Amino acid sequence: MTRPNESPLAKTLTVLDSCVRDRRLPDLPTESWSGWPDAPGVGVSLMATFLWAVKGSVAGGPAQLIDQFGVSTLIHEGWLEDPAVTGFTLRRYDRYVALLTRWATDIGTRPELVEMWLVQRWSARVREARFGSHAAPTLF
Amino acid sequence: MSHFDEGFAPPTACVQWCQLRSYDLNVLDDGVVVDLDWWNKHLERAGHDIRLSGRNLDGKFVTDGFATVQRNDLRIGTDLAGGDTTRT
Repeated sequence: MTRPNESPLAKTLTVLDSCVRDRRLPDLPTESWSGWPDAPGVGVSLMATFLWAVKGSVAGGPAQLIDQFGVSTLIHEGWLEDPAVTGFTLRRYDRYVALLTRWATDIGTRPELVEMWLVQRWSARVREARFGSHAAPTLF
Repeated sequence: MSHFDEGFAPPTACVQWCQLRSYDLNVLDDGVVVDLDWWNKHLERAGHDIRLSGRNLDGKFVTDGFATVQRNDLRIGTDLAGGDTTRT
């Protein structure tokens, strides 16, 4: 450790505080290839959830939760993107949010519900595959 | 929106599912049961000052035992989300 007096959380807290204040990700000059601010210990899903909780936005629209099940459904439905949420760059997350925002507008609902459908759809497919006719008819 | 996503429309099942649900009831009221004692012991052990709280079955504020944390409670400005919002 080069700065032993600094709390190991200092970097992360700076980023999160900035999100609370500005309701968007900080524009810190970042060395990271991913576009996300350097917040050790905070992965893509947690950062997205935090941004949603503080009513933050990204370029694609109001921040939305992101879960692997949801992205897996999107890809199964034909979305051409890299599947792994943990490796989502900020740019790819923007594209995800923009898609959810547009779908919600088309449907006349909120992107949060679209996100919820994506996740539950995957769970329902898994249940049906595992339990077949014994599963409750949940595949909507 | 990315031009790659033009023409990628929501599946019919998604449209129907979303139209039958409401944001307040199905999103904000969505909750999970958490063991506050377990989490708060771990927060304390890790040296954090913050403590997790939740609601009991009557919706009352509780700080120990098993409690429900609703999605709405995660949002800033709500009763349970104690955040440092005074510095804005």
